Amino acid sequence: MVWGVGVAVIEAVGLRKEFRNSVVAIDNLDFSIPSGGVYGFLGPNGSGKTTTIRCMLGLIKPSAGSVRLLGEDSSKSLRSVIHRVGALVETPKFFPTFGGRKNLRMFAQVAGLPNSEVDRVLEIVGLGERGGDSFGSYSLGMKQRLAIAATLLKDPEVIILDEPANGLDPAGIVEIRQLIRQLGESGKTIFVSSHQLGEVQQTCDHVMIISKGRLIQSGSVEELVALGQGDSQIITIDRPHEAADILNAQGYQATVIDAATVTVAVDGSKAQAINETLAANQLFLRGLRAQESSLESVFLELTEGEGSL
Amino acid sequence: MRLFRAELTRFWTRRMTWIVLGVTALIMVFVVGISFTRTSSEAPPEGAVPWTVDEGCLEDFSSGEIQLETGSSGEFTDEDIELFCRTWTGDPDKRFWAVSMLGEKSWFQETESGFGPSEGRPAFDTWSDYIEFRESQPVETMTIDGVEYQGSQEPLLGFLSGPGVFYLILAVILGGSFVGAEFRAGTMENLLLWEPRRVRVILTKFAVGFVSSALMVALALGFLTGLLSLLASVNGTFQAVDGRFWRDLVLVILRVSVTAGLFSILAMSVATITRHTAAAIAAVLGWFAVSNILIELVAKWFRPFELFVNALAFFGKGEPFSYVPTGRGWDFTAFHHGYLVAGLYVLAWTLIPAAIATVVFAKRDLT
Repeated sequence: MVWGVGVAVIEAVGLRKEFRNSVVAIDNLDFSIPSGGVYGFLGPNGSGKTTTIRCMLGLIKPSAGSVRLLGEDSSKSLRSVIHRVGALVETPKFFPTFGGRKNLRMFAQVAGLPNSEVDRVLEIVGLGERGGDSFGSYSLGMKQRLAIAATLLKDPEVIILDEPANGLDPAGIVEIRQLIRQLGESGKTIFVSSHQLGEVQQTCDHVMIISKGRLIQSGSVEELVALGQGDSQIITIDRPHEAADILNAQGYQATVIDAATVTVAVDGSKAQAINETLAANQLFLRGLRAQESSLESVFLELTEGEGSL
Repeated sequence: MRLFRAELTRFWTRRMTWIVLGVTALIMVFVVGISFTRTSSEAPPEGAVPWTVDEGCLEDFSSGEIQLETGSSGEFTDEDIELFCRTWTGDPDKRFWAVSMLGEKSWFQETESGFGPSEGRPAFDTWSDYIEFRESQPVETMTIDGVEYQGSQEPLLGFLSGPGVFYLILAVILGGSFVGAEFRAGTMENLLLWEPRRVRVILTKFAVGFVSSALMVALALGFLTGLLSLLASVNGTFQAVDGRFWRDLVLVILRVSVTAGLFSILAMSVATITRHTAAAIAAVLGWFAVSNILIELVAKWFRPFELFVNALAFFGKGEPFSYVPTGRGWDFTAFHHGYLVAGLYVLAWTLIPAAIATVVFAKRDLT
């Protein structure tokens, strides 16, 4: 699956990872991500998102297939491109007794970057004043900010973020969302794995959904949301069980949701017919509306409620 | 080089490094403080020759106040009595701190009978005299089943090299925690996002651990030397200290430091394989605890090859011995190899696990 036009900055071909306990985390995964924009990477817990990211970054060797990052095979020649890639994998990992600034300075030293770069990225993530405090004393949100600062330190072309909003408060989530958007608009390629589907919907241009290690859907956010629209009508009514029985007897697929709500799996063109059928049985609607689709509903439908987010 | 500098910075800014260094300094101050209380400023007068015969002791013998029991060696000669009065009177710490630092226990010539030695030894005016005497001693040999075996010298049991296991423990803690902390905090993964060449990463860590642990132990031993110099200047003497003494002292510090550095690599290797600091420390120190028992009970042949035996021999300038059954109910301890070869054995004990750790680290998934 290729989005847009341009050179692929991340490309997986027949990617497979089977662990020693015979668990297949990724199964024949193919995707290609062109340069620029924000790409969401969704999947239930255990679907293989983090394993895929680890394969991209050379932390895990694929059992078969390959991942290329900026044109280089991740398991062989990552060295020549690693300075163009910033990444946050799962939880923020730093030395707990070192200050945030000191942790970043160590990485800056490895990359030959000046200390002024460390101060710059700390300011970006709002940790300028707390940079001297030990990492162990940081809140989860601050740790997450520091990890994001570390990914920005190299001023990378490609940024891979695994659950960047974990532990952030609502204001922090908004800040990170804005930061990701800014970075995406500046021409960088952002690859974001997230559990927060609402955030992904607001932040990403494109989304890829995997389940059980396999790609099940990908496309622009609008395309994916459109997949779930117009397929269900929500009825508000006083006697939902009677209504559902009548509709089911007429060949509809009606389901009672709660004491006043029934969903019917039909598109909007059948709304009048439903109303007439129920009225003919002395059941009068208090409301009828099309069920709004969201990335979340599409995700749940595509993954068949396979696991929690 | 940038990675080396970054790792070096991390090593020397770790809290653990300074805690270990601080605790070590406190222990040394404590030990030397006790030595202060056990010595006195009533040292031999300036210009006095150490180990001179105590005239009062000789008078006690002549008056019959002190009598020696006759042991298997027969009658005691006047020379034996004179030697007794040299070695068993007074407190040597007051007189000759250099000897207490580097001298061997046999300076006191303990024998089974509890009294004088069966062989005479001269008094030594300088450290060089002592070393020359030691090196001039004939080597004991024994022919068993037609094979001539050479006896083995015990290592120096001096103040610096004697408690060498303590310095090795320091190095094991420093090395094991240096790498183990990376796996605990997950920072190894972070580092690989900046330098993906794993072999380079782990070899750099080994190099930094080696250099830093060796330097730290050298610093600790230098500090101890300073404390002992202070002790000697107050309650002792530098009289017999000569150029050779200082050269030997530096060489002992160098050998202990290098050995500590190698032990640090050993601990880092185990920590890399097990991904755990405690496992690394437990493995090395556990081996130290049981190795001697295992050797004595089931694998006497293994003694000359054992890690700690070779380490202690290397920095104590001793000779790891092997057991040779005599067929008379006891074993002869025969020379197996010298202290420099012992150093090579320690190197092998270090490099083999380091090579395994490097391969494991290069191949293993970081999950």
